[in-house]
Amino acid sequence: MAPLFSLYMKSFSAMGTVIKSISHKNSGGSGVNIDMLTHAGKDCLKSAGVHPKDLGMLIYAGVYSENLLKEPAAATLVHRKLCVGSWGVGCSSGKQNVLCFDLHNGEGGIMQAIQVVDGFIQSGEIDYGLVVSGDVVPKIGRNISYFYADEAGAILLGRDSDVSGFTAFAYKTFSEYDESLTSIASWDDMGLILKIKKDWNHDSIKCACVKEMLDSFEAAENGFDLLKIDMIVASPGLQKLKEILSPEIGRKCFQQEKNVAESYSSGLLRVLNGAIVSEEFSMAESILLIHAGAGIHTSMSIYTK
Amino acid sequence: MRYGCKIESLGAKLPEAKVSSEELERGLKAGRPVKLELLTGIKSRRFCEANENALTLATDAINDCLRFSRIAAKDVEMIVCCSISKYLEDMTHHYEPALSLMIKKQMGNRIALNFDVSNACAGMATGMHLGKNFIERGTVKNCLLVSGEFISSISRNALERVDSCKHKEFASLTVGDAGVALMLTQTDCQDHERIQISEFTTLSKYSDLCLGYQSASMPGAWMQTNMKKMHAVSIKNAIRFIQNLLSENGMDISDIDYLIPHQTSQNAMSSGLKRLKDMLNAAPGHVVVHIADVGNTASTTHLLALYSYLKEGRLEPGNKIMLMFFASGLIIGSIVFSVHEIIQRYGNGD
Repeated sequence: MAPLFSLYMKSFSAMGTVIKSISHKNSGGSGVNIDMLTHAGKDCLKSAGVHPKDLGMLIYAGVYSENLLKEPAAATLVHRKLCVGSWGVGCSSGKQNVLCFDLHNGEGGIMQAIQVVDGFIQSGEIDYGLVVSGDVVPKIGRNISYFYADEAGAILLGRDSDVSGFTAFAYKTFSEYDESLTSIASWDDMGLILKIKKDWNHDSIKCACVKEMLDSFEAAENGFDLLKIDMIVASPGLQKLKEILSPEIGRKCFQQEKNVAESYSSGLLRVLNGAIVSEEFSMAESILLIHAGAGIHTSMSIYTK
Repeated sequence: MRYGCKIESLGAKLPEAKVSSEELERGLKAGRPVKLELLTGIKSRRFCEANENALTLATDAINDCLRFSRIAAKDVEMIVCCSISKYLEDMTHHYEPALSLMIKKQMGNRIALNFDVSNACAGMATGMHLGKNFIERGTVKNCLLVSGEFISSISRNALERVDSCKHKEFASLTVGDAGVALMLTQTDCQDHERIQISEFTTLSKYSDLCLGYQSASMPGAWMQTNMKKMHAVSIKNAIRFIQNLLSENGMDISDIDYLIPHQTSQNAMSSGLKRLKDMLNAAPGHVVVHIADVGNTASTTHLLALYSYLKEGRLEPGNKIMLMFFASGLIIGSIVFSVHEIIQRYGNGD
């Protein structure tokens, strides 16, 4: 019988895809998400000492882009604002071709965007990839239950010969709960209306599903062992996860800041941004990143230092 | 270990309802003729009816794709939905959950990695580029890419405002609805059918030349395009891009048997080909123009043309195909591969 999940483990001997820098920003009330995303991206590049022209890939992994933009990809607008000098083929001041696009999978798109960038770094096609994510309240139409903060995050990934970096990605879908969070745009006599419906127990279901995902990976005897993980960084909305894991495992969960649930698609980056400067992170050798979102789509990745 | 990646099968779905350019022009609120067919070469396009939408187009295209594939729905390891539009029943646009997740559920698949990609008309191309990378690294053995492009709302909404062929929403009148699905599969690195080239670049300076948003008042979306400038910068840069790409891979444009460009308009494609010939002093064997009865179907356009050529038996074993992409962003890209065994599975070939 085929396994009911997807697990992608890499050889530890591979040159690692590592986190070069992370940034997280609040709009400060401006509500312009291309600017927020660009600001976060610029900070990432600056702190890593990487020039924008060295980017080989730029992905926007959020859900609600400015004014519900449909095309072009929001990533191309961020790329333009980052002042990457790729103004024409053959006369480009850019070092290499860059592909910009948007990747969507609810608030959990960020994990898959990281996996995509990892793949292109591992295959040698790019040196650096930037993933930006964040949402902004739409300025057009009306909305019901839009409860996310105007925030943006960015993560810059690159290659390192001494660090394993991202060594595994895994996903499991619990589609029996796919109605517990839905978001649609529709039109009535007054025009566009964005409706977000979130069940009261959505976050609890996410935690239970993540627990089941972790249990099934451990049971599959593929080398995954929670006891070997030193630190767990979970996205906002999984605050209760610690309570349902065994005490031995639960104590490895990074204590999130309060009130981060509204960060939405940049939430994992916000938590990771806090975790990465912590003492626990500096001591940890293996870090488990966990995310769950609409779908209910659960995902995890292992980051090994 | 590195693997090769090739096209295993391709499927398509067109809505039944045809809307002629003449009919569309009659619906213009301004009441002035805009010579739509004459300027674009588009006689008609397909529009979804009430029981059709992005998901039905996608799933019908997948069913067609699976008919020609040796891979069963339950064994698909990666599903990427690449459409711009995510309009389902009653013109509701779905942000969450991802459309790829709904498709995965409808397919009865429980194992596939899934996500949606949005990259304007280069959506399927971007999906192919990502799928190829995952397959070549051995992360997955196969990847199903799908796009149900239900974009006729931009055309219907433009009828309210377009008053001449120079109007910023004129290009919206060229679009049609369509679905395509493409299965990529793992092969060895020497396979003649493997995808040999997949390369893209983003000229983001031009990202504002074509913008599409949800409409604030009318169901669906609206789009504005600076057609003249978009065409000029696309052609100028695409030819340089092709030249570099082929040279780096030891090829010449005359090695290409069929060039399939983005199907925007007959005139745009003709002038682009002339410029290509002038600049490269050579030309591909054939340039595929597949627009007269379907219009510009956005992210599905190249594969819809390829599907038509496969079904009509117009390709021969060994033909080298180049897909040439232009999309809002400005995204320029190309994918090159040869066709051999796949031709036979579509009822053609030796």
